[in-house]
Amino acid sequence: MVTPATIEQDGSGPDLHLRIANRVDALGPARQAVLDHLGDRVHSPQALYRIELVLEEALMNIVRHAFADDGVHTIDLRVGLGADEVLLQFEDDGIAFDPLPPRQAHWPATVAEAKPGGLGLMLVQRFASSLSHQRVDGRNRLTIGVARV
Amino acid sequence: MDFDLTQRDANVVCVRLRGRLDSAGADSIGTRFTAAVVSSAQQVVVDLSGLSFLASMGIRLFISSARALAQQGGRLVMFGAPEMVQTVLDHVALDQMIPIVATETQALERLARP
Repeated sequence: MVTPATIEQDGSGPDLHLRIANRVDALGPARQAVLDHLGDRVHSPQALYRIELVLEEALMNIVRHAFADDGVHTIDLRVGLGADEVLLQFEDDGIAFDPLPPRQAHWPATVAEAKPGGLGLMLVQRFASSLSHQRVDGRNRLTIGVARV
Repeated sequence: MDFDLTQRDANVVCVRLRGRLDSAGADSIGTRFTAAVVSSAQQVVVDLSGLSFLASMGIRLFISSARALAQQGGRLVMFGAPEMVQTVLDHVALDQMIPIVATETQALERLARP
Protein backbone atom coordinates (compact mmCIF):
# COMPACT_ATOMS: atom_id res chain seq x y z
CA MET A 1 0.00 0.00 0.00
CA VAL A 2 1.38 3.41 -0.96
CA THR A 3 1.45 5.85 1.94
CA PRO A 4 1.90 9.61 1.78
CA ALA A 5 5.40 9.09 3.19
CA THR A 6 6.46 7.15 0.09
CA ILE A 7 7.51 10.40 -1.55
CA GLU A 8 7.76 14.00 -0.41
CA GLN A 9 7.81 16.87 -2.83
CA ASP A 10 9.63 20.17 -2.36
CA GLY A 11 7.73 22.87 -4.22
CA SER A 12 10.43 25.54 -4.08
CA GLY A 13 12.46 26.38 -7.20
CA PRO A 14 11.98 25.52 -10.87
CA ASP A 15 13.30 22.00 -10.51
CA LEU A 16 11.32 19.14 -9.06
CA HIS A 17 12.75 17.76 -5.82
CA LEU A 18 11.41 14.48 -4.49
CA ARG A 19 12.45 12.61 -1.38
CA ILE A 20 11.63 8.99 -2.09
CA ALA A 21 11.50 6.11 0.40
CA ASN A 22 13.58 3.06 -0.50
CA ARG A 23 10.50 1.00 -1.33
CA VAL A 24 9.48 -0.64 -4.59
CA ASP A 25 5.99 0.88 -4.34
CA ALA A 26 7.52 4.37 -4.32
CA LEU A 27 8.24 4.15 -8.03
CA GLY A 28 4.66 4.68 -9.19
CA PRO A 29 4.09 7.95 -7.29
CA ALA A 30 7.59 9.16 -8.21
CA ARG A 31 6.99 8.45 -11.88
CA GLN A 32 3.68 10.31 -11.82
CA ALA A 33 5.23 13.30 -10.05
CA VAL A 34 7.97 13.47 -12.69
CA LEU A 35 5.49 13.22 -15.56
CA ASP A 36 3.28 15.90 -13.99
CA HIS A 37 6.32 18.17 -13.59
CA LEU A 38 7.39 17.68 -17.20
CA GLY A 39 3.87 18.36 -18.42
CA ASP A 40 3.82 19.38 -22.08
CA ARG A 41 7.48 20.42 -22.07
CA VAL A 42 8.44 16.97 -23.35
CA HIS A 43 6.34 16.14 -26.40
CA SER A 44 7.92 13.10 -27.95
CA PRO A 45 6.46 9.73 -26.90
CA GLN A 46 9.89 8.23 -27.48
CA ALA A 47 11.51 10.78 -25.15
CA LEU A 48 8.89 10.15 -22.47
CA TYR A 49 9.52 6.41 -22.74
CA ARG A 50 13.27 6.95 -22.33
CA ILE A 51 12.71 9.16 -19.28
CA GLU A 52 10.36 6.65 -17.67
CA LEU A 53 12.73 3.77 -18.40
CA VAL A 54 15.78 5.53 -16.96
CA LEU A 55 13.78 6.59 -13.91
CA GLU A 56 12.52 3.03 -13.35
CA GLU A 57 15.88 1.35 -13.79
CA ALA A 58 17.96 3.86 -11.81
CA LEU A 59 15.50 4.09 -8.93
CA MET A 60 14.89 0.34 -8.70
CA ASN A 61 18.63 -0.32 -8.76
CA ILE A 62 19.06 1.96 -5.75
CA VAL A 63 16.05 0.56 -3.88
CA ARG A 64 17.07 -3.05 -4.42
CA HIS A 65 20.85 -2.89 -4.11
CA ALA A 66 22.12 0.31 -2.47
CA PHE A 67 21.40 -0.42 1.17
CA ALA A 68 23.03 -3.12 3.26
CA ASP A 69 20.41 -2.98 6.00
CA ASP A 70 16.62 -3.23 6.16
CA GLY A 71 16.25 0.28 7.47
CA VAL A 72 14.36 3.21 6.08
CA HIS A 73 16.42 5.32 3.71
CA THR A 74 15.61 8.27 1.52
CA ILE A 75 16.59 8.79 -2.09
CA ASP A 76 16.72 12.38 -3.29
CA LEU A 77 15.65 12.92 -6.87
CA ARG A 78 15.97 16.27 -8.62
CA VAL A 79 14.48 16.76 -12.08
CA GLY A 80 15.47 19.71 -14.23
CA LEU A 81 15.14 20.70 -17.86
CA GLY A 82 18.10 21.69 -20.00
CA ALA A 83 17.93 22.90 -23.57
CA ASP A 84 18.28 19.40 -25.00
CA GLU A 85 17.96 17.12 -22.01
CA VAL A 86 15.84 16.27 -19.03
CA LEU A 87 18.26 15.87 -16.11
CA LEU A 88 17.56 13.32 -13.38
CA GLN A 89 19.85 13.49 -10.37
CA PHE A 90 19.65 10.69 -7.81
CA GLU A 91 21.37 10.96 -4.45
CA ASP A 92 21.49 8.25 -1.78
CA ASP A 93 23.45 7.32 1.33
CA GLY A 94 23.89 3.71 0.27
CA ILE A 95 27.04 1.70 -0.34
CA ALA A 96 29.55 3.19 -2.74
CA PHE A 97 28.67 2.12 -6.26
CA ASP A 98 29.77 3.42 -9.63
CA PRO A 99 27.28 2.54 -12.38
CA LEU A 100 29.42 3.95 -15.18
CA PRO A 101 31.56 0.96 -16.30
CA PRO A 102 30.07 -0.20 -19.62
CA ARG A 103 27.73 -3.15 -19.49
CA GLN A 104 26.91 -5.56 -22.27
CA ALA A 105 24.51 -8.45 -22.51
CA HIS A 106 26.45 -11.70 -22.72
CA TRP A 107 24.00 -14.43 -23.43
CA PRO A 108 24.93 -18.15 -23.24
CA ALA A 109 24.31 -20.58 -26.08
CA THR A 110 20.92 -21.67 -24.76
CA VAL A 111 18.19 -19.98 -22.75
CA ALA A 112 18.48 -22.87 -20.28
CA GLU A 113 21.81 -21.40 -19.14
CA ALA A 114 20.71 -17.76 -19.07
CA LYS A 115 21.21 -15.84 -15.84
CA PRO A 116 19.91 -12.30 -16.44
CA GLY A 117 21.62 -9.62 -14.39
CA GLY A 118 22.75 -6.06 -14.87
CA LEU A 119 20.11 -5.42 -17.53
CA GLY A 120 18.75 -2.38 -15.70
CA LEU A 121 22.02 -0.45 -15.64
CA MET A 122 22.75 -1.47 -19.21
CA LEU A 123 19.45 0.07 -20.27
CA VAL A 124 20.29 3.26 -18.35
CA GLN A 125 23.60 3.47 -20.23
CA ARG A 126 21.94 2.82 -23.59
CA PHE A 127 19.07 5.29 -23.22
CA ALA A 128 20.85 8.12 -21.42
CA SER A 129 22.42 10.92 -23.44
CA SER A 130 24.74 11.77 -20.55
CA LEU A 131 25.79 10.02 -17.37
CA SER A 132 27.97 11.05 -14.45
CA HIS A 133 28.62 9.74 -10.96
CA GLN A 134 30.23 11.22 -7.87
CA ARG A 135 30.75 10.03 -4.32
CA VAL A 136 30.33 13.09 -2.10
CA ASP A 137 30.37 13.06 1.72
CA GLY A 138 29.43 9.38 1.84
CA ARG A 139 26.62 9.75 -0.69
CA ASN A 140 26.25 8.53 -4.25
CA ARG A 141 25.24 11.21 -6.72
CA LEU A 142 24.14 9.90 -10.12
CA THR A 143 23.16 12.42 -12.78
CA ILE A 144 21.48 11.15 -15.92
CA GLY A 145 20.59 13.25 -18.95
CA VAL A 146 17.87 12.02 -21.29
CA ALA A 147 17.32 13.67 -24.66
CA ARG A 148 14.07 15.68 -24.79
CA VAL A 149 13.33 15.01 -28.45
CA MET B 1 -0.72 -5.49 -16.03
CA ASP B 2 -2.56 -8.62 -17.10
CA PHE B 3 -2.56 -11.40 -19.67
CA ASP B 4 -4.82 -14.02 -21.17
CA LEU B 5 -4.31 -17.39 -22.83
CA THR B 6 -5.65 -18.68 -26.12
CA GLN B 7 -5.22 -22.26 -27.31
CA ARG B 8 -4.01 -22.02 -30.92
CA ASP B 9 -3.89 -25.72 -31.67
CA ALA B 10 -3.20 -28.99 -29.90
CA ASN B 11 0.12 -28.00 -28.39
CA VAL B 12 0.49 -24.24 -29.03
CA VAL B 13 -0.76 -21.56 -26.66
CA CYS B 14 -0.78 -17.81 -27.25
CA VAL B 15 -0.22 -15.56 -24.24
CA ARG B 16 -1.39 -11.98 -24.82
CA LEU B 17 0.09 -9.35 -22.51
CA ARG B 18 -1.61 -6.02 -21.70
CA GLY B 19 -0.26 -3.03 -19.81
CA ARG B 20 3.05 -1.97 -18.28
CA LEU B 21 5.63 -4.67 -17.69
CA ASP B 22 7.81 -2.71 -15.26
CA SER B 23 8.83 -3.79 -11.72
CA ALA B 24 5.28 -3.47 -10.42
CA GLY B 25 3.82 -5.23 -13.44
CA ALA B 26 6.32 -8.07 -13.23
CA ASP B 27 5.57 -8.46 -9.51
CA SER B 28 1.84 -8.58 -10.17
CA ILE B 29 1.83 -11.26 -12.87
CA GLY B 30 5.21 -12.98 -12.50
CA THR B 31 4.23 -16.20 -10.78
CA ARG B 32 1.00 -16.62 -12.77
CA PHE B 33 2.72 -15.87 -16.08
CA THR B 34 5.51 -18.38 -15.54
CA ALA B 35 3.03 -21.01 -14.37
CA ALA B 36 0.85 -20.40 -17.42
CA VAL B 37 3.79 -20.65 -19.81
CA VAL B 38 5.19 -23.80 -18.25
CA SER B 39 1.98 -25.69 -17.60
CA SER B 40 -0.09 -24.85 -20.63
CA ALA B 41 1.76 -26.35 -23.54
CA GLN B 42 5.06 -27.33 -25.11
CA GLN B 43 5.03 -24.41 -27.54
CA VAL B 44 4.19 -20.84 -26.60
CA VAL B 45 3.83 -17.65 -28.60
CA VAL B 46 3.75 -14.41 -26.62
CA ASP B 47 1.88 -11.42 -28.04
CA LEU B 48 3.65 -8.20 -27.01
CA SER B 49 1.39 -5.83 -28.96
CA GLY B 50 -0.59 -4.89 -25.86
CA LEU B 51 2.47 -3.77 -23.89
CA SER B 52 2.68 -0.03 -23.31
CA PHE B 53 6.01 -0.28 -21.47
CA LEU B 54 8.75 -2.84 -20.91
CA ALA B 55 11.63 -2.57 -18.41
CA SER B 56 14.35 -4.93 -17.22
CA MET B 57 12.19 -6.78 -14.68
CA GLY B 58 9.83 -7.70 -17.50
CA ILE B 59 12.73 -8.98 -19.57
CA ARG B 60 13.90 -11.07 -16.63
CA LEU B 61 10.42 -12.56 -16.44
CA PHE B 62 10.57 -13.51 -20.14
CA ILE B 63 13.95 -15.15 -19.67
CA SER B 64 13.04 -17.08 -16.52
CA SER B 65 9.81 -18.33 -18.10
CA ALA B 66 11.53 -19.32 -21.36
CA ARG B 67 14.19 -21.10 -19.33
CA ALA B 68 11.60 -23.03 -17.31
CA LEU B 69 9.79 -23.98 -20.53
CA ALA B 70 13.04 -25.05 -22.22
CA GLN B 71 13.80 -27.33 -19.27
CA GLN B 72 10.61 -29.19 -20.20
CA GLY B 73 11.60 -29.35 -23.86
CA GLY B 74 9.27 -26.53 -24.90
CA ARG B 75 9.93 -23.38 -26.93
CA LEU B 76 8.78 -19.77 -26.80
CA VAL B 77 8.59 -17.14 -29.55
CA MET B 78 7.54 -13.52 -29.03
CA PHE B 79 5.89 -11.22 -31.57
CA GLY B 80 4.22 -7.88 -32.19
CA ALA B 81 6.36 -5.57 -30.02
CA PRO B 82 5.41 -1.88 -30.26
CA GLU B 83 8.18 0.48 -31.39
CA MET B 84 9.78 1.44 -28.08
CA VAL B 85 9.31 -2.03 -26.59
CA GLN B 86 11.15 -3.41 -29.64
CA THR B 87 13.89 -0.82 -29.13
CA VAL B 88 14.39 -2.02 -25.56
CA LEU B 89 14.50 -5.65 -26.71
CA ASP B 90 17.04 -4.74 -29.40
CA HIS B 91 19.31 -2.99 -26.89
CA VAL B 92 19.52 -6.09 -24.70
CA ALA B 93 19.82 -8.33 -27.77
CA LEU B 94 17.15 -10.61 -26.34
CA ASP B 95 16.60 -12.16 -29.76
CA GLN B 96 19.90 -13.97 -29.28
CA MET B 97 18.10 -16.02 -26.64
CA ILE B 98 14.41 -15.86 -27.53
CA PRO B 99 13.11 -15.50 -31.13
CA ILE B 100 11.26 -12.22 -31.68
CA VAL B 101 9.27 -11.73 -34.88
CA ALA B 102 6.76 -9.23 -36.22
CA THR B 103 3.50 -11.16 -36.47
CA GLU B 104 1.64 -14.05 -34.92
CA THR B 105 1.76 -15.92 -38.23
CA GLN B 106 5.55 -15.62 -38.29
CA ALA B 107 5.73 -16.75 -34.67
CA LEU B 108 3.70 -19.88 -35.41
CA GLU B 109 5.82 -20.59 -38.49
CA ARG B 110 8.95 -20.24 -36.36
CA LEU B 111 7.64 -22.77 -33.86
CA ALA B 112 6.79 -25.16 -36.68
CA ARG B 113 10.44 -25.30 -37.73
CA PRO B 114 12.43 -28.11 -36.11
